[in-house]
Amino acid sequence: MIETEKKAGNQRRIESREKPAWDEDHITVRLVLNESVNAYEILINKYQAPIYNLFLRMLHNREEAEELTQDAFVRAYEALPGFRFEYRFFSWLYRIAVNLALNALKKQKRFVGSEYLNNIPDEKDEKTAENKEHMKWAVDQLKDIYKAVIVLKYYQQLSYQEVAFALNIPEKKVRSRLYDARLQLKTFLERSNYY
Amino acid sequence: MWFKKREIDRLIKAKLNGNITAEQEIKLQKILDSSKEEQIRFLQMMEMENQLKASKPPDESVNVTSEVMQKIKNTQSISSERKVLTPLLNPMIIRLAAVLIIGIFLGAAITWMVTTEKLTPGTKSLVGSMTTPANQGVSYSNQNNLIKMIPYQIGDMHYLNFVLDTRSEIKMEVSFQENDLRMIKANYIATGGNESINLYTGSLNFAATGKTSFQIIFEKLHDAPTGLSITAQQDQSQLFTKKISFEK
Repeated sequence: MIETEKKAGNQRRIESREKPAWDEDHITVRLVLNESVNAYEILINKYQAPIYNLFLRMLHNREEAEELTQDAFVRAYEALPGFRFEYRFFSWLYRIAVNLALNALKKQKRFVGSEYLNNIPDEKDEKTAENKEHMKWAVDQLKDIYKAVIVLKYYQQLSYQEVAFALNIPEKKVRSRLYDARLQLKTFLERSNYY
Repeated sequence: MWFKKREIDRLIKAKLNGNITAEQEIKLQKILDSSKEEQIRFLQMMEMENQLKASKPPDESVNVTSEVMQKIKNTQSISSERKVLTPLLNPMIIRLAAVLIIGIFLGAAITWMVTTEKLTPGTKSLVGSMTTPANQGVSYSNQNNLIKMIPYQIGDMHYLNFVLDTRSEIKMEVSFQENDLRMIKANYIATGGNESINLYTGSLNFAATGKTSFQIIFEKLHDAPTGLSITAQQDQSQLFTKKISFEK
């Protein structure tokens, strides 16, 4: 909820930390809840790309990412009656998507048949592109919970607060989990002669 | 020292997370200046941090709008069919009905189990009047109890010999007409539990637990046929009632 103050002719917007601003997504959600189902298309068009990219970066499979993107939106639609307007719709949708991604990761076989990554690099290469691939490979070796924080923070570029909400953990835990993930990454990189 | 390493880790973590204070920054710098090893480690972490940021894969586009809307509409058509049936299939009513039906079945089953005699193979179920000439016994048994009553007659004296084997106390009641039969004696021969005999007008009660033998001696007061009834009860439930006839 946005509280406004008029002071000496100037207007300041104070955003309450507990209640986010009433944004256009909330208006769209209200429309959908009032049985304007087609209004839901607005939300799908707006957020399908970041949600799809989240799944793609977690699972490295385009077909599965597309399927899960659809699932995420369908589930979000079904859960809309329980949507709390103190949340941002996008953060709430992210939470649904992250849960789906983590569940899918558990089922997925890792290290086999990835269409997204190249083979494990054998030696350190000075070329930036190969370093990037090396880093992506190392991220893929992480445990699911560490991979999730890395992907959300660095690839999806969410804030600490948004990552915390998506994973449903305190912000402090996000920071410590991120640090642990970095330490693990460092170990993988050292073992694969990245340095 | 392990605590120093922990302190360094905490400072590097704060630096990487972007929430390091000025004081911590100075402290970190001092440590890095004093240790080559920590310097290398710190630089590796920073390089990794930069690489992580740079390794963000390019965004890809997708269009799933029509598929999602189709799935939603399919879901909606199913739920609108359900709305027609909902008044009839109100979950609360169905639950209550299910509980009622299950309860009735359970109650009937328990009642049947408790009241039905279960006879061992080869044992007849005896109901109503019967004649038990000498040398023939009457027996009742179920999973937890064995009750035998072996009658015999000598002249006008009728001996009822009870042999019981029970897991929990059984109460036996022998009812008779005082004009027809006179009780001479009633006593335990052997008992596995407490002895308890109660004599009333026209009836005798005794209790049996474990292996018990009990004898009642009646004198028949006339030549006309007469009889008595024997009832067995356990845990407030009746096991059986038998009528015994004395012809002569």
